[in-house]
Amino acid sequence: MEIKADKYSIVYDPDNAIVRCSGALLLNGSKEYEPILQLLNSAARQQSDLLVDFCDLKFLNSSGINMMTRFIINVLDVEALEVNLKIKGQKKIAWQGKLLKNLQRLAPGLNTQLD
Amino acid sequence: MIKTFGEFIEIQPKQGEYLTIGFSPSCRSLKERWQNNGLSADFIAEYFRVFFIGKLANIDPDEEEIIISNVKDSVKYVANELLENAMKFQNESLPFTAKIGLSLYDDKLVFCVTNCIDEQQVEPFQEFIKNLLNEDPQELYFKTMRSNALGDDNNRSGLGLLSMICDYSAKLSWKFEAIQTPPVTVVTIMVLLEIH
Repeated sequence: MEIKADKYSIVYDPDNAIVRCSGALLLNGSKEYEPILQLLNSAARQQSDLLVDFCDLKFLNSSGINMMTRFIINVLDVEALEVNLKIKGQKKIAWQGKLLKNLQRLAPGLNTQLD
Repeated sequence: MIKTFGEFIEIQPKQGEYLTIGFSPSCRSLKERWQNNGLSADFIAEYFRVFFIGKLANIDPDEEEIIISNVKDSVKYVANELLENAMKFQNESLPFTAKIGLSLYDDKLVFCVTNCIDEQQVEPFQEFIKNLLNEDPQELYFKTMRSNALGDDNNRSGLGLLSMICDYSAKLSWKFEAIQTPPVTVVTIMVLLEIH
């Protein structure tokens, strides 16, 4: 399952239980982010362990941050799925560190990894 | 009538280095113009990067690359969020050019975005600003993230402005100027980023 556009791609690899996000996500509001949110929720429903890899993601606007918080809250609180969810980013990319810290504060059960 | 919120200071545009980009109302779709936000934000960030490089001295080249890249990301994030807001709230029926300006100083970077909004948007926006200035921004940021995630999701939650304050230590202020003919309000948001 994948969503590909000129400037970004979201690729779900079910065999390795990874969703890789790459490029620049500057979509307009939650409506345009809905297909990505659906892909993430659907991956989380299928896996016992799921890694969402942001390492190749260059940019995320505030609507994208909003989409990620909706995903985390849905998985950990609303649907309370039986999945060990981990979000991975790069230590040298400051915004990724900030995002992961914010997501973890929002959902203390979330695993994060900065490489 | 002029009303300000936060520590709004009038910038003298002829001082120091500055860059201004204007966006006239056009018949192009919001989707097309939305894609330009990223391009404009990239351009602004790249413009700033050139000036910023000269400020770094005696730093390991690898570390320098990381610092420059992160500062550029911050400038791009703030510029993009401001442009997105100006596009979302601009009253397109009026011949008013929305503008984003960037002024460079030794210790700070100041963004100024001006656009005009509908009269009915003025009061809710001012209430939101008062709330933002009176509450703990961190608490408000997480409260907004949570309420958006649990269903109160809308494109006017102010999450972008809160992230500028909480994640980028930006200082925000606003000026509202009511114009009689046509009856419209011109809003200027000023965002100050300190450079370390």
